[in-house]
Amino acid sequence: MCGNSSGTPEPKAEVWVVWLVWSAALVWLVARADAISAWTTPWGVYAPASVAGVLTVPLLNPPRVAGLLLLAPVWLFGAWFTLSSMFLPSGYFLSPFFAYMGGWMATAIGMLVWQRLQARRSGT
Amino acid sequence: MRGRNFLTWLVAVATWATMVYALWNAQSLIALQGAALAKTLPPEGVARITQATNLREAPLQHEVWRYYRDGRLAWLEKHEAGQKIIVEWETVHGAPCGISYNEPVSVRAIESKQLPQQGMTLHIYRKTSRLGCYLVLRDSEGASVGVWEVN
Repeated sequence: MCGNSSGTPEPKAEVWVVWLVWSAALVWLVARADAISAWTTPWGVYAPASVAGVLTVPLLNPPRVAGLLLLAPVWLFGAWFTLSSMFLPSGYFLSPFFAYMGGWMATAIGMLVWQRLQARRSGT
Repeated sequence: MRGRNFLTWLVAVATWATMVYALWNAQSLIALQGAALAKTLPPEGVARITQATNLREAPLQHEVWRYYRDGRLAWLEKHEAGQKIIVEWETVHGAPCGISYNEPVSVRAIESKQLPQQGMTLHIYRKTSRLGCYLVLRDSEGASVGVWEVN
């Protein structure tokens, strides 16, 4: 984290760049869905969801408008992806929810724990 | 600081643009996953193809067909170049496709290694929404040779 004049820590520039890469990866996944293997596709969903989870922590700690503005599309895509599961064979209604939101939440919690451990180790 | 603000807003705009694109196009991603999942599940209905007339190629893009049902018989029908294309099957056991019949439906072959042929087995998987189904074509050895989506 870097500081600004008001004392509020700002995420490092790399965080924004990774978000840009994340956006590109999601577009690639959706655009190439017909061409890539059906068994690769779920991993293509877990991967962006997990990256989003890792990046969520610096964006919401502390909460700032730009961070929320960035997270809103991630949540909206997750919600839509979950709703789209109505078009999966019956019995798999919640699997997209667990794939996307689960991957995202698991990595966000992992990132939080890692940050706490780092802070404790450095004595802050 | 100005450069950082620019980067922040650039990323925000890019992420929103991405989301709109992804929402618009996520349907094919879901259909692909639906087809992959259907192949691994026990079927809700099993049918045998009784007729495949004038079918020269699978509908790889969404096409408007008509879906009919008469007792255990169900068929998809389309008119093209003055010819009637029919794929008909008889439900052996389990549930039929479940969508309303005698109406236009959207048909698309998500996977197509072989065209439907008389005698092939068809496994039927209804969608959670009940507004469509996946039809998995299986050859005599039970291997999947095609998945059609009907909405």
